[in-house]
Formats: sequence, structure tokens, C-alpha cells
Amino acid sequence: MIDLSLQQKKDIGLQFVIDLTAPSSAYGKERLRNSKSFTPEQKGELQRELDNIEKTLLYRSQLESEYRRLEQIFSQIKDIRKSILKCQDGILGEIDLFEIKSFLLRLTELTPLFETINCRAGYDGIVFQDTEQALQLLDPEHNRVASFHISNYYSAELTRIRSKKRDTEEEMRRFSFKDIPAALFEKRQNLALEEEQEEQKVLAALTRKLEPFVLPLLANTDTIAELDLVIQKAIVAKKYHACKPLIGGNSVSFVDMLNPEIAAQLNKQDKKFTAIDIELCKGATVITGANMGGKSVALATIALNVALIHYGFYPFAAMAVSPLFDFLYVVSGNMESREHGLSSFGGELVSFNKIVSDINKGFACVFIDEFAHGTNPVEGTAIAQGVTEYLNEKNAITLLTTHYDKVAEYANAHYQIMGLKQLDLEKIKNETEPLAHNDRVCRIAACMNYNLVPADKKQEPPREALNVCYLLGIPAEITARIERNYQELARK
Amino acid sequence: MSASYLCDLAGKYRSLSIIGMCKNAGKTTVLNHIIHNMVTDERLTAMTSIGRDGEAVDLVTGTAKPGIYIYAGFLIATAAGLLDSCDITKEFLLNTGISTPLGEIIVLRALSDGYVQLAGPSVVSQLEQLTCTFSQMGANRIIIDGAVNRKTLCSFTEAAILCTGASCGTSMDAIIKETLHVYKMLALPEINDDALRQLVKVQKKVADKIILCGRQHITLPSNVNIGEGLRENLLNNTTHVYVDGALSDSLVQSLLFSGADLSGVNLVVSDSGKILVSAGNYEKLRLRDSGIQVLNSVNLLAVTVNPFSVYGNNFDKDSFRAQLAGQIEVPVFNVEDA
Repeated sequence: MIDLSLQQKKDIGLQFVIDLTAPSSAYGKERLRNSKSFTPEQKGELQRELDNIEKTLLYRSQLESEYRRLEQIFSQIKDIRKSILKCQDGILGEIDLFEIKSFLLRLTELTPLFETINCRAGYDGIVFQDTEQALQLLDPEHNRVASFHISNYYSAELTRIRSKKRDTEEEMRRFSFKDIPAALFEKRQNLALEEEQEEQKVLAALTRKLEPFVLPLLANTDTIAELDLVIQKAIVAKKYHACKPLIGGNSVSFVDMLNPEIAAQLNKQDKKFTAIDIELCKGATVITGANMGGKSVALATIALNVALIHYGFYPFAAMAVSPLFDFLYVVSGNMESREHGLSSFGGELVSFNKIVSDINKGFACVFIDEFAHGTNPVEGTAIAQGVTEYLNEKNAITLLTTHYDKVAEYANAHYQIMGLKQLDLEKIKNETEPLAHNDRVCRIAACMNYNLVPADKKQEPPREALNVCYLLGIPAEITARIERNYQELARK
Repeated sequence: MSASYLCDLAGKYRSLSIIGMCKNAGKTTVLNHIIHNMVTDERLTAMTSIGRDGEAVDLVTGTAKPGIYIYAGFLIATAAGLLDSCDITKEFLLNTGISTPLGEIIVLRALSDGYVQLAGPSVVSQLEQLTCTFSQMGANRIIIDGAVNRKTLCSFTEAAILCTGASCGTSMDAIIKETLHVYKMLALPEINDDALRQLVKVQKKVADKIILCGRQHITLPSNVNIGEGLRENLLNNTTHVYVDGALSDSLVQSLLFSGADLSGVNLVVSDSGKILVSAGNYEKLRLRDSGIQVLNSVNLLAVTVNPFSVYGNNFDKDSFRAQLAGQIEVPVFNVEDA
């Protein structure tokens, strides 16, 4: 099972997708909150979930008003599981019965509506249990009104007591309030007590009669949660042109893949997310590329979409294929390590140890962003190479990003960000009017080709740090010294 | 003046709040009396309370309290946790979704006469939601069991009755003085210039202090106090100063000590529930030819007095009533006569 921390979910953009999904019912909201990923053994269940999303996408526009009404009813349904469960270990109170009755009435609206939809859509495994008899218990007079009272119908004794009490109350009404004789108050009080005792008997009897309906009622709350979430997942999928993934095989492959959170941020700045095409086979794949070229974004985007498939969402791509993994790891030197009193490098090592301890236990998918980037380049390179070589030999699909040399040689495949191509450096160097900071950042984005392309394993990461210095307007007196150092390095 | 006059008076309004000056001020007695007289009329009465009230045992003093006795057909809204203490035959109509420490507020119909304990919303927006629900259910009279420290919610109703009693203080003089002050605050005049009201309505969204004169206005930045604003004569011949939220003693004091000319300047608040000014400071304002006005006034119908104290120091009922009646323009009733 995939177990990502909230921070990791935020880092890869999974939390953003979860927040986009807005179930209407209390049950759907809870199911989303406690989302569990599908394991390789649950492939059939995942397939069913994906099929149901597909059916929703097919029929939601044709049966628009039916679906809308369905969502409306969902939004009016309260979480009454506590009341339902009370049936088994206590006596239901009037409020419990009122809530159960309201729920049952909603079900009588919901079930035929769902049948209408289901005739066309043919959902797989989404079934409402018949609870009509439970409703009859709570609506003995067949009023079908969403109010509840302990009807006289339940007990002849109750009818007798209430009628006597009513007579006393009528008698009391004949006096002005302060003149009502104490004896009448007392008489009424005693009758009210008798009434309460008889009502308790009725409640106990009703609880016993409702007990056989506990499981069907709970099953129906689950069905509501499932259907609600399937519909909402379909709505998100439609909005972002997500696709139904193929589950299986031994490699992960995406075409035109997006990260909706980053795409939304870019959209605000009138920029477009460069879609990613990638195939990850068993072993290690390395991404290299220029600084600010989007290596980490690419890694997060792939991790996000693999995770989405495991959580039963459509991935944000035009085409997607992935097997189901036993484990999914995302390692990046983020703030988490500092919170635990570790340096970013220390944090990476602790996370890596966790991977090592699990990696022989099942099929794993591992994402590692710039491993050992916080340490010196000589040792860092050796460490990144060693880790890549180790992971490449395992029964796992691993993606690493790095800007260290010769790491890709230890991997199975190499992708490179196109980077800063066709740059007129002389023009930038001779700029007389320096640009504002924001404009410089924008210029990098404009010059950067974020496309990810397969590269030869021996191809070295590009040397574009100095170019980024020029583009970000580092003063000439500094860049001149950097250039001198470059030349010395080249001579050696 | 007969007590049935009070009932006739109260019966005319579509919404009414009963404001207790303190616990044991006789509010429940007044309520029971008024409600009893409403049984025979054609209207559908709905009741709730602001926060919690109507306990069988007073939570503060531990003394036994009478419950509110209502009649078959009434609608009530109360917290789920108090339902066991209501001995009416209940029909459950609606979960309001409003939570209180005593559970969710539920709307019920009384299928019989009987005692109820009420705990309703303590936020204006929730009270609005609830009264709207009552109206949708056909209620055409709403009675709110209120409290003096939550007056804001009482200005919500068309009319109000103030209840005071011997339990509200240590001596008759002190209680009369305090009651008079509350009465004065409740009876404050409503600002009657529609254009000015409209101006305040718009500007209070951008600032919490507004200086006004005729059609002109200046909003004060939060770091400038009203005294400074007036002293520096930011607007010539200021007529009104609107304060959003509470008008506190400390705010009035800083104004009194600021040296600003307060003559002819009216402080304006949204309703008398926002006024937390002591009697002393209010008198000082009056001496400086200043005053307080409200955007929404309370239509105070009457004041009731309860000469019996749960703490033992009972008052002479006639002199208590007479002393108050001499200084108050609305009728004053003794709860015992009710």
C-alpha cells in the first residue's frame, strides 16, 4: 500500500487534486479524507472504480438533470451511522429514529433516480439495498413526511395515557396561568411520566425491529460514498482532460502528462505547462537538465500521476499505462528532514534506508529528487552513482533527477530537459538597461525549453549554470571571475 | 394597569423578545403568562432562546426554577441535549445544523401542552436562519427568550419586554439605577436620517470608525482614535460618529479625556446590544452635550419587576414597582400580578 505523508502529498500536488474533488455527501467527504490506495491484489477493484468513472463520464452529460438531482440529494444527507450503530448496543432515541427516518426517505428518492441512471450507465458493483420495510416501521401511518413522532399507532396504552393527559391539559387551560390548581399540575406531571415510560417501551421495541436493517443501512451509506466519489472523480477528470489508465505491464508510461497544481499557477501568469512524455522501465531512469529546467517538476508530476492511479483517480495525461506497485517512495530534501533535526542530506539517507529495507519485499516505484545534492560534488557524485546503480539492479522502477556527471551511465535510461537553447548570450551580456527581477525570471522561462527528451546515457548534464547567472543579471564583475575559473578548469 | 393589558400588547407583534436583566428576574413567569393568553388566538407561535435558558434547576444558584409551559401546536427550537427535560409529546421536524454545547438545535412541534427547556442559537446569523425556518413552517409569531448580555439578538424582534428583579443586585437603589440605565440604553433613539443610515451601511464595510456631518464623511484609520479625529477637526461640525462593533467604556473614556469638543456629536452604534457603557460614563457624555443613537432601536413595550430574590433580600413589591414606574415611560408590571 502507498503511504504518503501529508507533506509528500502536498509536494507532488496530490493534495491539490484531493482538494479539487468535492464530494456532496458527508459519506463521500469522509471516504475521500480517508482515501486508501489500491494494492496489486486489488487490481480488480481498481479496475471497477476506473470503469465506473468512465461510465459517469459517458452518461453525465446525457443525464445531466438526473445527476444534478443525485448530487443535490447527496448534499442533504447527514452522517447517521452513529444512530444506526446504536441499534446494536442500546435503545434508539427519538432523534435517532427521526434521523434514520429522514435517511430512509432520502433513499426512497435516491433509489429510483439511481435506477434511471443505472439503466443506461450500468455501474459495476454499485447497488442500493432495499430498506423499504425499515421505513414502514418508522412511518406506520404511511405519511412519507420527514418528521417523526412516537405515534399512538405503536401502543394502545400510549393512546390511553395521552388521551387522559390531554383531558387534564384541557382542564388546566380553563384557568389563568397563576390560578391553575397545583393538583392539576401534579396530575399532569404523573401522566407525563407514564407517557414517557410507555414511550421508552415503544422505543425499545422499535430498536429491536430495526436491528436486522443495520447492515443494509450501513451498506447504503457505503454505496452513497462510493457513487458520490466516483461522480466527483469523473468531474475532475473531465475538467482536466484526464484519461483512463491501462493497469498492468512492467513499465510506467505517460503521454502529454500534466501537473494540475503547477499548471494552474502557470496559468495565472499566462504561461503554459509543458506536457511530459516519458516511459520508465524496470531499473533506474535518470533525468538531467539545466538549473531551472523543471527536473523536479517533472519528477513530481510523474510521481503524482502514478500515485493518482493507485488512489483510483484518472491520471492527468492523454495516455497512461502503469502496473500497481506494492510501495511508492518519494524522496526529496524538503523541510521535513529539518523538522526532524536532520540536515537535508541526513534526511535523504534516512528515507533511503527505509527504501532499502522494503525494496526486496515487493514491487516498488521510487522517486528521488537530486540525491546528495547538499553535499560536496565529488562525494555527491559518487553517492548518486552508487545509489543509482543499486536501484537499477532491483525489482523496482526508479526515477532520479541529478545535475551530477556520469550518473546516467549507472542507470537503465536517461532523459534530458532540452534547456536553454538558441540563446543570444552576447546580446544579453551587452544589455544597457538591466531588466527588473521579475522580468529576468520571465526571460529564463521564455528561453527555457522544458521538453523532456530521451538522451544517450553518456550524455553529460548541460553546463548552463553560468548562462542562468547572465540571465538573472548577476553583475559582470562577478560573472567575469566565474568565466576565468571556467577557463582554468578547461585548461586542467 | 391590568396585566392582561401586557398580554394584549405583546400579542400584537409578529416577534417579541423577553429580556432578563439577570437570572431569576421573573422572565419565565412573564413568558408563561403571556403564552397562556396566546393559546386561544389564531396565530402559530414559535419559540427559541438566545443561548440557554429555562433550566429546571438554576445552573448558577442551584434553586428550583419553573419551566416554560407551552401549548400543543407551538413550534420550538432547542438543543438536542435538553429534549429529555421537555415533557411535551414531541414531533421532530428538522435538524438545523446549528451546534451548541448542548448538541444540535432541533425544531420540534409540540403535540401536547407541557414544559420545555430552551437553548437556541447565540449568533445573529443563526438566529436569522432559525426565524426564517420558523416562518417557512408557517409560524407567524416568534418569541425569543433573551438575556440582557445578549441584547443584540433582541433588537432582532419587533418588540421587547425587560424583566428585572430583586436578584439582580444587592440593594433596591442599585438595582433601580442599573435597570434605569439598561432601560435608557434600550430606549435610545433610532437615527432617523435615511441618507445617513445608507452612508454608514456602505462605509462600515471599509472602516470601523466613521466621522459624519451631513452628506460628508471621513473614515478613521484604526490607529487614529476618535478623540484625536474630533480634536483635529477632521470634519467641521461633526454631527455623528459611527462605531462598528462594541462601544466600550474605555472608548468613551478616551473620548472624554481627549479634549475634543463633543457638543452636538452623537455616537452611533448598530443597536443597543453594542453599548457596554456604564451609567456614569453615559451621564458624563450627556453633560458634554453628546449622546448615543442606534441604527436599529428596540421597541420596548414594558418592564416587569420581581420583588422576590433567590438570595433572600425580598423587596416591598409596591414600592419597587412604583419607584421604577416613576422614572420609566413604558408601563411597569409586578410579575406577581401577572
